[in-house]
Amino acid sequence: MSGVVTATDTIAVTPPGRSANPDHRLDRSRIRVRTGVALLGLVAGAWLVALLLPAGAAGTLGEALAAGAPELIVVATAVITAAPVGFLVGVSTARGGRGSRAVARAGAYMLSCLPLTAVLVAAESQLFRVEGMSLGVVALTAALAWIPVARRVERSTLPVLATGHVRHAVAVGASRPTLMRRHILPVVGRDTVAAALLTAVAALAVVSCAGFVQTSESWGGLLGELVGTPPGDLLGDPSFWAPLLLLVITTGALLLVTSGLTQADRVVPPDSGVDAGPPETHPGEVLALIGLSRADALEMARDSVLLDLSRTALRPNTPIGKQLVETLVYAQACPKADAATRVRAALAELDAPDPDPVLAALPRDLPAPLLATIVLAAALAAEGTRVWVLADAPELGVSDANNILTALLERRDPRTTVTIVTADVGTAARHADCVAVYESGRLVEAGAVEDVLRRPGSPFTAALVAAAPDLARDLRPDGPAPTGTPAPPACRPAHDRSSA
Amino acid sequence: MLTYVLRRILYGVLLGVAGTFLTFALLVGTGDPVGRVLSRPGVPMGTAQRVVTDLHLDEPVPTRFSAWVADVLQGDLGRSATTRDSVTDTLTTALPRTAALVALAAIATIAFALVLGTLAAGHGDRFPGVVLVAALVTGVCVPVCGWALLIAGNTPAGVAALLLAAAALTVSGAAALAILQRHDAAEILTSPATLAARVQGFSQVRVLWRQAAPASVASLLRTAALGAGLLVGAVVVVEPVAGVEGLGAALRTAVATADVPVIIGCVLVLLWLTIALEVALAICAGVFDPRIRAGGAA
Repeated sequence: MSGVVTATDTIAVTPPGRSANPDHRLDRSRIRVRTGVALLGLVAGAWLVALLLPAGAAGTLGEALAAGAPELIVVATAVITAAPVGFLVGVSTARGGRGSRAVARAGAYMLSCLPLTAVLVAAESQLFRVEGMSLGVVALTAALAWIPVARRVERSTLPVLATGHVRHAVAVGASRPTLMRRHILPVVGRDTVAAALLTAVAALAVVSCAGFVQTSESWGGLLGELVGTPPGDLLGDPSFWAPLLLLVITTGALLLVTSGLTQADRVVPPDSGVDAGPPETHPGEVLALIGLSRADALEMARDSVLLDLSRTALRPNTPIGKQLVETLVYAQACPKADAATRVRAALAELDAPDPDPVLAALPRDLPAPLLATIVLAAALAAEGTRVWVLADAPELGVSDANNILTALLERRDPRTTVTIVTADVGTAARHADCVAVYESGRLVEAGAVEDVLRRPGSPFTAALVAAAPDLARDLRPDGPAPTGTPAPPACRPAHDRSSA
Repeated sequence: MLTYVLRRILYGVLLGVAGTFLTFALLVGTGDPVGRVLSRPGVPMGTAQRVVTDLHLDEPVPTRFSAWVADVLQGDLGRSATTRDSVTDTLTTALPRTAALVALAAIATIAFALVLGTLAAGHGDRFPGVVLVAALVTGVCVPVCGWALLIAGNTPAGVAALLLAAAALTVSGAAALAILQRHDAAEILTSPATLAARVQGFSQVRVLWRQAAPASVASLLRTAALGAGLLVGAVVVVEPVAGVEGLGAALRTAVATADVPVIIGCVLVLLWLTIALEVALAICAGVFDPRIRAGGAA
């Protein structure tokens, strides 16, 4: 395949869990800064230890550092063996079937159930020793350290393999090395190193404790010689502080680099916040907000009744009924017994099935349309003159969302104002009297639905309308609004009105 | 739920059997125990011959293993190579202390991790939260032997020693768990469900303690289960320092005198204790999270 540019080479790598939004960026400075601080910390710490040790005494800095050879060798072994082996095993278990995954899982489970320090102490008393340094420790580290790394790599690799572009790459015949180099390594590489460093931290803790128990030549061993000293005396003793500090600094440096590696993936969201509030509404009006982010919408929806059609708006491990009643009780100051009755009454009115099993179910156990119906019932049971609907729910689909909206608009108190937040122009056209269009949190234009969507005043709105081919069907023919409310007033944004 | 509990126990037993074999392989099948015993200073004469006969070293390994398993199943772990006391008797006296220590430390670790981690998550990157995180990171960086010396060193034996030993185990364990708990709780605080609750008038305190904390208990317990090995392993460090006459202290003495039967006995009992702790924590995690019960393999 050499020299030939294949389709797989041209497919861009968009790692999972990262936003495709160009406004979001990957913060790589964390890796550089934290690694730098960790190195500085190591140097400063060594200097501090040198200061602590009495000049000319038996223990000098060089000796103190040399005493830590077992710990340092184990850390190095853990990182050097765990990262590559863990990566290769983790990727192959992720690619392999359930069988190999079960084997890897069993290995990890086993490791978590070993009282490692005890095993190490016991093993050290049996295995070969060379010059005070136990080869058994190094062998055991090398034999076990890759297991947690492989688990972590497997968990990070699975979503990569499931992404569309990687499937395409496989379908057009990407070779294993290509897949590894172009798709898996760039995403999973940092996780691998971070997991290896964390494993090294655990290995360091275990080995120093084993040295402590056996008072062998190591930092832990130096501490072990102090068993029996009253804690008060320890505080003034450099032979306590020097090995302890060296252990603390090594651990701290490893953790710092790890946190830099893991947090670099944290997406930095753009500055949120909209520059204007929602357009002013009148009792009974239906307003649609297009292009508003979820966070911004929630911010504006304060003190209103919230109807969120997305499954993620419910906590996954709490029964639905309990959550809805809680909301009525705390948001509406409604007595608990009363809240349950009101939700049931609203459900009965919506012709929902037997409410008991439905309300006792967990959100994931119900089909999306039924779940949305129940949430709608709770919103109808709530008292409020303003209702905010977050209508975009990927699992629900546009037509089911439209059914819910229709049911809401039919059954609401005619004086209740409804604000629909959606990305779908068709939904807005079908239900709303007025519409406001936002681009990156900025209000682009607002007005009666017919005006804005038939004659868009901005390129952004025009593009949205052009992307909705069925819009003509959803837009009502010119005439009075079908909701029976009087024709909407100007639907101009509040801040425009005040400045006018 | 019952299926889940039975499955966890089955895994634990399978693992215990495998671990028992590994212990045997590691401690009896490797090295040269006789030479090891003789090379230690202060080992009494005649010990070498005893080790050979006690461990059936003159027989092939499979025969030795089956004989050893048969003995262990009858509760006979052999006799100490140095004191000639029954290993089973030594372990039966030591086990309750270690079990109490581990149980106490596990409960305290989880409770502290839950409270401190949730508090830190609630305060975000602001002033009290940052101080708390710095304290937690210090707790993680100081090894458990350091905490043992600082907290439990040179105490009179008895209940006080047990409590201080548990405190030393808790400090190092809870700090690491709390950092993970902070991460989990912070994630829940930014989840759509929590944001929606805040908009609907739920207070920050209520969202933090009634929603984020309970929702992250399951994953906290799961992580604690993964750390069972480290917690029980640390007993070997803490017990001798605090003067608790448990399995860890017995193991340390046995290692110093190369008393192989006692070493094997201690490691075996510690292994089963770890498995018991892991299974208990995993079952608790299943109680809190139906998803773990439904899909949860190891």
